[in-house]
Amino acid sequence: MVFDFFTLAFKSLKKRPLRTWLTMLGIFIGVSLVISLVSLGQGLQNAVNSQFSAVGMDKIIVQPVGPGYGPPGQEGSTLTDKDLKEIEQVVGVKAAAGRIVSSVKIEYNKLMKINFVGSMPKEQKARELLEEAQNIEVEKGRILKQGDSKKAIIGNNYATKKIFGKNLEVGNKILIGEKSFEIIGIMKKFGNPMSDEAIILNQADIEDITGKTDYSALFIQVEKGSDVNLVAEKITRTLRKKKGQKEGHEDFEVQTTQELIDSFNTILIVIQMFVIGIAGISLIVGGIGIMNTMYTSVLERIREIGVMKAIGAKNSDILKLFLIESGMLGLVGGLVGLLLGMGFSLMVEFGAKQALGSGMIAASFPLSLLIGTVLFSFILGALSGVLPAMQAAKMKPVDALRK
Amino acid sequence: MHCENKTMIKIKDLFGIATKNLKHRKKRTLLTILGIIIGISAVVALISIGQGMSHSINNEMEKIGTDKIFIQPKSATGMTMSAEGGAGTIGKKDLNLVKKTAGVKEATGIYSHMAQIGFGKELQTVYSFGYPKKQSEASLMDEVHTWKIEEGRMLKPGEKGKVIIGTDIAEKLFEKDIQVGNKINIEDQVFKVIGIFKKVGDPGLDKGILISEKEIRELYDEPDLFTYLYVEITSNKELELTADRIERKMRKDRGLKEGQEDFSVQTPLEMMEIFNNILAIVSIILIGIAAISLLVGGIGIMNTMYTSVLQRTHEIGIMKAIGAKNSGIMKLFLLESGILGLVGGALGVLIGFLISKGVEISAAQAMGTDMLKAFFPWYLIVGALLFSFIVGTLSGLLPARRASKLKPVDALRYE
Repeated sequence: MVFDFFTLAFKSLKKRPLRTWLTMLGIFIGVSLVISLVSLGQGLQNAVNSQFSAVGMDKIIVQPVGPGYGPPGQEGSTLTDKDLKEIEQVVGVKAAAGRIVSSVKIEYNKLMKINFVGSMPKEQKARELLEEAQNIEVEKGRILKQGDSKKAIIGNNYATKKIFGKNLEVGNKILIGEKSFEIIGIMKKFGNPMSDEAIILNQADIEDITGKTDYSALFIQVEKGSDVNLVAEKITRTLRKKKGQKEGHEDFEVQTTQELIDSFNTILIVIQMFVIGIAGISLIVGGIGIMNTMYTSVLERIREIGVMKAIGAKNSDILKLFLIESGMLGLVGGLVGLLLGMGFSLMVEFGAKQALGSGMIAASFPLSLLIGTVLFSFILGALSGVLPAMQAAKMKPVDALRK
Repeated sequence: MHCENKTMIKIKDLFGIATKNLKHRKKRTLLTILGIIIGISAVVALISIGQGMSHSINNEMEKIGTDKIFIQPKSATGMTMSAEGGAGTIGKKDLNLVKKTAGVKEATGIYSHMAQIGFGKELQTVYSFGYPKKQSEASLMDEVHTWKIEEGRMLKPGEKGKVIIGTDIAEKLFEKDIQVGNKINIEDQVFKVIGIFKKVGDPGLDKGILISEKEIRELYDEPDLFTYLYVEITSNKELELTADRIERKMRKDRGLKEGQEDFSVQTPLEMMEIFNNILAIVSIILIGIAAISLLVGGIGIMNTMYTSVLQRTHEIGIMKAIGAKNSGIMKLFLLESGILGLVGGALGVLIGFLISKGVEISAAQAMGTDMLKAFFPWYLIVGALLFSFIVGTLSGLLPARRASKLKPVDALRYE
């Protein structure tokens, strides 16, 4: 029985091929647009989340909160060695490491660049923590060791001609902050330019070059079995007390890895919602197109409806018939749109890989997205058909036949 | 002449026939127009908000003046750095150098530092800025920062033991609001609050304090460095020229080659350009996405027109039989689809206007600044109308061609 409805609907759609195709074209466009935006956004989110997760869920990060963005570059002048010592005493903290990050002049091959240098702390435990949290691994040479002086490990981009017009190699000497450093290691590629152009030195060297002793961030590892959120709360209270600040008025921020991921995701989702919302407008317009086509179709088939009713079709049958017809318009439109959208985002992914050289933009098609889209477009089609179908269903057989 | 009038359908008549036809199928016409309304209103709202934003920023920049140049140390991200950063630095020597450059009228420098301020028992971190001692330098700084006093009075050049605070510090940062006349601690030294800045929407200033340059240098033991230098030139026709001169002079002084600068010399024009470029890219992406719904709306028009041609095949046959030319039929259908587009466009502009006004009002209430003003130049309205008419006509092109090419005999025989 239901099968009959489908064949009937399909037949009447085939009778007016041009109109059917144009109506579905509207849906193709809307669906493919939404699909490609969602899948690219999702891909970006996945990439960033996996980078955050690499830090490990047992970590807490403390950062100074600037009064705003004001004159930039002044971040990180409020976390001191004393704060670090204080945090180390908090129950549940296994290790804590402070990191100085600064912009420094880097010279090689008679060229000068200004880039970020980050520090490695003095204690071994803290070093290991930072290596793990920041995912520091070398591709060539060796990692920076405790007590190394005037030695540096460099980001992967320095090993290409991109920065100094010449590949840097292990053993080369470069000027960092006007002092000569030996390169002892080249880091693995991170995939984001900021990390791939960074340089890591021992803390004493950075203090020597920049005169900076305040930390830009503190990394904390929680002891096994301790509740990360609880420890974070304790750290917040300790620092607040030390600084004499009231709750809600802190000039620092304590975040667990999970919170970092959450806050990032929130931002991304807001942006995504906005863009997809705008893209969704074209789906609404496409739905209106379906409604229009269905009204026309009802009008054209008044006589047919009359005959069907005269030979015993119920109102609900007529309603079903037209709903299935409009649902099919939406469904087929959604399916084709899905394929087009997937193709489009794979193209963007490929293009981005060629242009950026990193896999940051990888389209992601979770099953829920695929099924959701198809379902959504069927519902959109069916909903757009509700009013026309009701009009058809409510016709009196006599009136319909007389037309 | 008289003879020609007989066979040619007048534009006015065509218009009459077209509107009659559209009215005849009210529901279909309304739904088709609705598609265009939605698309046009989204595009119009996005453009007017984007344009409004760019206008208010450009106005701000123009207030600062097109006769100003900014100099700051360069940093890794290409953004500004604090004076104590490890990269380039700018000091009193540079200020003197700049002052002596041809075309420079006056120059001044600002030093800023993170400051711990205390009120009651609370401690908070804010930005502090130093106010120069010389009157002419202070005036230049006033002009660049466009700061205004909401309560109390402005700091006098060289005045000591007094501080002006940003609105956020006065109202938000501490449990208790700070009033003019209150005393606050800056790095454990007592200062009297003599004025509160008006909210400007720049977090640096709204959460900043201003004290004399001498005091800020003493507090942070920094006798020499500046965070920014501000330069006023004698003639704004020589803006680029003077900026270039300053850059060359500083480069020479530092013994650096071109492209190796550890400082950057910027004019408001350049800053405006950077901002406008970013805004333009974001707007184009969003408008492009919104415009796709117009494409879908256009397809809707095409669909409606094809249906219309089909349903009126008989009528077309009659019109041709009594002497209508192909071009006349073509015109009739094009006009019909054009009207669909135009009416949709007109209503879309209206709704778009309402949307962006709504955004403007709610933004003003949420943020407390009038940064976001919807902008409605005449060319946006005319452009949107023209565009929607063109979308309508183009969408009608294929259906109209089909109608005009129908053979009268076939058309009459149809159905």
